[in-house]
Amino acid sequence: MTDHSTDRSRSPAVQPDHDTQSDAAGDRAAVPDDSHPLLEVENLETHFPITRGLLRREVGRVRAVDGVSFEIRDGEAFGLVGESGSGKTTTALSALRLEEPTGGEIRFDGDSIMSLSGADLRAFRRRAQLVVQDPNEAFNPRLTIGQAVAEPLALHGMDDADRRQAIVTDLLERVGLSADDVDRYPHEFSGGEKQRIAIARALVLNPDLIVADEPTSALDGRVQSDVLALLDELRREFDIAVLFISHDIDVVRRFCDRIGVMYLGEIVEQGPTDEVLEAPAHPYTRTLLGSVPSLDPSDRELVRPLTDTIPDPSDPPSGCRFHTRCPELIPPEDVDLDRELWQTIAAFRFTLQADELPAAIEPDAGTTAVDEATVRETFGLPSDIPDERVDRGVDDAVDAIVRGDLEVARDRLAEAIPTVCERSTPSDGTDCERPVRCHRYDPSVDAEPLSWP
Amino acid sequence: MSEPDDPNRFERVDWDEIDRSGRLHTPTRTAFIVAMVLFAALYALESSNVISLGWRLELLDWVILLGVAVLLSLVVVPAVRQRDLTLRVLGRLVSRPIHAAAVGFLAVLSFVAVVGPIIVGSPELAFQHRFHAPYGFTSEAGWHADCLGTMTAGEGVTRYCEGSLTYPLGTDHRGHPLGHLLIEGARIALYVLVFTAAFVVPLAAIVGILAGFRGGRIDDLLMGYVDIQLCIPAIVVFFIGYMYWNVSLLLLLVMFGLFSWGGIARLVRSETLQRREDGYVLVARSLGASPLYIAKRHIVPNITNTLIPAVFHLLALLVLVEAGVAFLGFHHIELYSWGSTIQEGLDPPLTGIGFVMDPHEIWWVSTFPAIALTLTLASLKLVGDGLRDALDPRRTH
Amino acid sequence: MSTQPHTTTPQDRSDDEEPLLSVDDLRTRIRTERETIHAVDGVSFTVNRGETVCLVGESGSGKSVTCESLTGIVPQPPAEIIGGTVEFKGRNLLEASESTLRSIRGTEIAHVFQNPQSALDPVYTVGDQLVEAITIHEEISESDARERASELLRQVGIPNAPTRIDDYPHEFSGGMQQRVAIAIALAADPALLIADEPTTAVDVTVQARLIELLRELTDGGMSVLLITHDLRVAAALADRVLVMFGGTIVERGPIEALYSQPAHPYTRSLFDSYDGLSRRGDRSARGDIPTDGCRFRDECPHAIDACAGGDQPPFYTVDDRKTHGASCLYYGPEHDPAPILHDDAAVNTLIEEPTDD
Repeated sequence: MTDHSTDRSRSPAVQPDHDTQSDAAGDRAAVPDDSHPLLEVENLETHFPITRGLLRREVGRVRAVDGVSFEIRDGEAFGLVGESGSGKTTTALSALRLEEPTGGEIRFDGDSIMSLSGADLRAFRRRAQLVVQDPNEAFNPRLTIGQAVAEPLALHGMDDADRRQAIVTDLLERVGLSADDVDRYPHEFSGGEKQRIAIARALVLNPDLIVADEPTSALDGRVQSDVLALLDELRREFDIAVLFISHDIDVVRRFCDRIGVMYLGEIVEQGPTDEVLEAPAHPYTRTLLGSVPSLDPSDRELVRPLTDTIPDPSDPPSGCRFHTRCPELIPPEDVDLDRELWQTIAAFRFTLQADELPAAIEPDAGTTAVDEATVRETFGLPSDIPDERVDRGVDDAVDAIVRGDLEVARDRLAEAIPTVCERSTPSDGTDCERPVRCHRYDPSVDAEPLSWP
Repeated sequence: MSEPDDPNRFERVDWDEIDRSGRLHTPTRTAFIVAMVLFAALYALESSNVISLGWRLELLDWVILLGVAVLLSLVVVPAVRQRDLTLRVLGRLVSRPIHAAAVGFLAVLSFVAVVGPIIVGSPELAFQHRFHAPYGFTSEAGWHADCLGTMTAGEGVTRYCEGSLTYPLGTDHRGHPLGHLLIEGARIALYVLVFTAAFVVPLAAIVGILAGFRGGRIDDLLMGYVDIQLCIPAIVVFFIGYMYWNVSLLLLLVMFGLFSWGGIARLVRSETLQRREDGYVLVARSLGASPLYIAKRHIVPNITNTLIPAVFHLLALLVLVEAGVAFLGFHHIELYSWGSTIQEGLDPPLTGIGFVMDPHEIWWVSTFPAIALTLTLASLKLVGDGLRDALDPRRTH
Repeated sequence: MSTQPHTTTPQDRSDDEEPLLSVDDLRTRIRTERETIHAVDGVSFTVNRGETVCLVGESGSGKSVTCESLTGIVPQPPAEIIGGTVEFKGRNLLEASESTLRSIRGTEIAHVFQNPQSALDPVYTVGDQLVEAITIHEEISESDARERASELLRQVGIPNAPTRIDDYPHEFSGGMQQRVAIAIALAADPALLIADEPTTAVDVTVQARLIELLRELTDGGMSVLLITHDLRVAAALADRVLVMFGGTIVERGPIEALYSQPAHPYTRSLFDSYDGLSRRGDRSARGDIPTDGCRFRDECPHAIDACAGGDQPPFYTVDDRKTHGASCLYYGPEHDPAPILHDDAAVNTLIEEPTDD
């Protein structure tokens, strides 16, 4: 599998012209080590209770964010990427204490924000600002743009209306609008313009940190690129750190110095953007990258995880949370199979487990009974597998499917092909120069990282 | 961290210098407190006979006065403070002739209801002047002991008394001029409007916003209560109260007022639930805005599209309910509601002189209050719709 | 015709085969209280059998209105189709009666939209909705229709179709809902599927599966007219690409040719937005797009006086490939496209070899 995007970042047209990530990351490295990061998130947990009944008895918890750690230095842009449901937005809102974390620690400029109140909380609220995703609902439709941008000032006690007005007009001009726009209402602006105004509103209190939750995902093409460039320009000019949430890897690539990749409430890999995206280490990062279609029409290959079902965050899989979909699942120690064959068998197991039965072998697909050959053909299983134990397990499972007993088939497979990925929870591995939460990077596990083309 | 002259900052604001202590005294709050203090002082002084207002105020009048104080401080003071916005909204409101006419009618109604009773006083019994026809119409001469207009030529039932300018709208069976009765009815309608707007609507809005904004148990409790309340017909409660206490307009207002806001509260709640997820509410929270601020500045203005028509519908409904109850006869005998006047015109009581009159023979007694009632209800609905459109900047006129 | 500088109808492919859909000079305007917008302003293109044609453009370029005008599902008013022909299997749809159009929609031309929630009725099970879609166009018994419904769900890759058929739309994930919407569109086995941003609302991993599904459908002989703002999605699916701006098609051609040599300055700026963070220098804040000549001229760094006025520039061939045309004067006989092609700010270098590494 080749991914053109790596080619792209190497292509001469991109890097030298615009001073993007690599230069910025270089600058950042020069910051002396004794200075503490602007935002430190340590083992953050934000769980939402699932309640039932009149008395709101807790019957479960959605582990939206489950042990996330990262830090952002002054003026740095840190990106969180992941699919919907990965917990990236909850992480961002928790970092601003808009969702109450249920565990962990968040420090801003060295001080914990978990128990801030009164004047300290107000000061924090001034220094950390939010830009929301949908420009169409980012503004109160009943307030003019001038009122909206001045609102942070008024809320924090600046009663001098003339001074507010002066600051607001100055800012609107900086983001490419005109001073005459202050008396217009939000619906008179396009999506891109609204997002510019949202950026102006986030800047008005001189923040040190802007949390931008998918700020450009409602925009397309050139407008998106435009707003992104504006945000980048302003953050460099005012030395503002940005926590940037996005599902679009290409956007993060262009904007962020460092990124963290989230899956089911955890950061599975983090590091400098160009390193992570050029040489992704975690199988999930690789899956994400390989799912983005290439701009090269002759390269139409897309990566396929073992299963398509994203597990329920209230009941995440044991061990590594990605193991049910991981194309690089670690085989049992004594099993030595060809990689492709192992993938096929693993896909067989987790497809059954996720109940994603293909049409051909559905229990009541039709009148014709399912026979063994059909099952093997559907999953691409050879009739003979060069490992006795696995072969037996697969044989039993196939037989069970033919009998219509899926439960037995699942049990037999789980028994025959156990994996360390399911048994134990990976810690951030050390085999890579950056934290990667995968057993393949854990020296104590007998599995080597697979190469990334 | 950064110096005041840091060129990388576009604006320096020393937040420590900005005083937040003065923020507790917003003009609206001040006006509210002042109005309440004045009201309490007036009530204490009057009831202990230290001062006299020249006429006796009943409990109902005090309640309505309190309502006026509430409306002044919560509606009029903010409206005056945001003069430009108010003028623009009013301008948009009256930009369509039909809405302008409705606003005009309600303004005249309020003016007449306040000033009218002071000028004309309360209607007095004048049986000798009963059943005078409006000016330009005639009534049977035999009904009148004393015809104020010209008598037409003729005998018996063909002899008519023409209406006179003394009673331009005619009189009823007690000789009350219809004009006076209309003014009295307007006053009652205004009482209903003030009571509803000052007490019932805020109650509904507060409960709805609280339930929608807080959610959780508070939501369950409040909405559970609203559901129970919606199951109890207010009229049954009113009749129970009617059996045990003195019948009064206040009883009617309290009973119907307390049992009629559930629908609006539910509406406000569901709108609040949607609004609180909007980005600007999240941004306001990230700026440290208090729930009260968010409710006032971001939630209430954005639910006016459904709230305003619903409120004006409720106002119209309660005016109609009052008229209906009075029509059925369950009203205080000294209050001349439009409803009771209509009833007396449709079913004229025997007056002791032996005449049995058909309703159409004294059509003016029921028709004028019915027209007034209809115009009031229609105006309320029109103003509600007009105000909704006028408040929404997205609607172009 | 190879050297003929302009053609009024796009003849991109074979001359021997009649195209499935042939749109000529389609014009749709939208009247609002304040203004009249020429949303589609003289659009011509063809879709052949079994071909995937991709209409690429930003929001507001008129690509959705174009596709909704084809079968008349664009809301009229405010929209009004004021000219052109839409020939589908030899019939002009713009002159067809409403009942003819209704029978064509769904049976022969099916639509899939960006947001599957809006296409699925939340109070009916997906089975009910599929059965409805099947029985509207076909006299078939209820049980046969259900059989066919689960067949369709299987076809679009929904696991456990026979059990999931009785689920409600909200019980499906976003990607699965889009599959159900596609299944409904496929109910009557249409010849042409019009898909309006079908993958925009879903995650990349889900998008990858939907792209694979659409590929399977075209492999099965269906024609697809795909609307997208995402050049990457177009690259993954299209046989031919039409680039739209300001209600006009500004460039068209086979995907390989167009992506290796984007010709029109607008197309090049679109590719540019996938690279670094360059801000457009010449940005008109609320500037209206011109309604004559080249619509892009106000934002074009290479605009010359001749770009203004008159009709849209004709399609000139690019690189002597007769199927690749750009509506830009620079490619005409009187100009030299070199300044555009050598503008460093706008280069798609993906297919060319990287010069260093």
